[in-house]
Amino acid sequence: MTDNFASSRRRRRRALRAAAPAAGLLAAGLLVWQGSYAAFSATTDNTDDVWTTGTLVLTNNGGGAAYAATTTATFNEVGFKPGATGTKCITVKSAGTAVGALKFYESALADSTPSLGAQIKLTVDAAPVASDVLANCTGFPASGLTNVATSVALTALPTTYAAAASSVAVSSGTQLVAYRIAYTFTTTGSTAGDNALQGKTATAAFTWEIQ
Amino acid sequence: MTAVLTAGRTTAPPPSEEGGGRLRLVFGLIGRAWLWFVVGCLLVTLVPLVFGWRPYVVQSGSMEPRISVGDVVLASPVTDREHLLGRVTVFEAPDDAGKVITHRVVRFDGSAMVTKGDANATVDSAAITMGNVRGLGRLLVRWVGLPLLWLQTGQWLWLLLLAASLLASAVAIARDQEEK
Repeated sequence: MTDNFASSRRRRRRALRAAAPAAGLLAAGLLVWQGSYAAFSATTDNTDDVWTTGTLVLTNNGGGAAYAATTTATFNEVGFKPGATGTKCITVKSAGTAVGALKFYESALADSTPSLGAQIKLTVDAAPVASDVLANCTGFPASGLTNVATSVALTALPTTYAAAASSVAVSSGTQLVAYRIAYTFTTTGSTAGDNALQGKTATAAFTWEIQ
Repeated sequence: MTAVLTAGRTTAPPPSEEGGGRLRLVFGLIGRAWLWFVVGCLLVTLVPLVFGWRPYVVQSGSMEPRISVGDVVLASPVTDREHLLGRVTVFEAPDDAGKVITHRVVRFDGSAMVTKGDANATVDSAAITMGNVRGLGRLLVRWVGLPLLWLQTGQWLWLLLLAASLLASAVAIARDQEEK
């Protein structure tokens, strides 16, 4: 090995050693630039439906076979009277990378005067399930339940995510959580009070949310 | 024992010899690049603090695919709400004081602003006002917050691997110095 060859190799190695930190810094800079550009500069479009392509999606089956972000009328009880009860199930599906707490709350209530909502008491239980549970509750687990509400009137249910005390932990990937909602139409305690509720309607909307 | 060690040393090729020297060089280069990559990411995260920007470690996947868990969002103070429309905004949850969320402002609703995670199908349940806003997302430093999340969730293996990689880099650099 000649001195000449050895010294040119030394020079090459010196250059490489100087370039390595620069390459590391450059990679860091490019990473930040690319990430920031992708996340923070797409500003022109601000309608709701532009950003729906992601991976965190919460849907429910409305007691039926198809999942959607919003479903309607799991209960549609007409002409019922004090003492009436009923049970329906709904399955909520979380798909994506989120790990969070799934909560159930009442997002809207259109009540009557006098209040029919105050006489309708809900008992709500939730359980993780492996497959869809439809409105008839077939397949709803008997154990491992999280109690969400016990005999709570429509007028007294939590109305925000923060106010809802009970939650179900949801991990990443596709997760199904079935909710069993049982109602009882309780009597006001007097015939006159009950009579005043004839022909009244109460409409409630429920929301499931993961944070 | 000492004798064996000494004997082993004398049979190993000298540092400047072709084979061992080249491997040391490669490890040294990888070590330098990795350490400076980490330093670069930390610098980008810390330098903006001088200008009053604040870092936020993303805790959930609601802004996927652009912003992931463990990324750090650097947010600058903002006073004009017109700047926020369509932009990634850091704010305190109006219905849960102290909880900080990084979502996009999708529309104005009177004096309120409606927000939504990119990955969510529906808008957030509670609208925000300027009083809730902590800042406007400016820089995204990927992965830098992961060690913090590992620490919080007790994922010691990942922390250990990170520490080991930094240590190995330092050793590789120390073993690959200029020939005299």
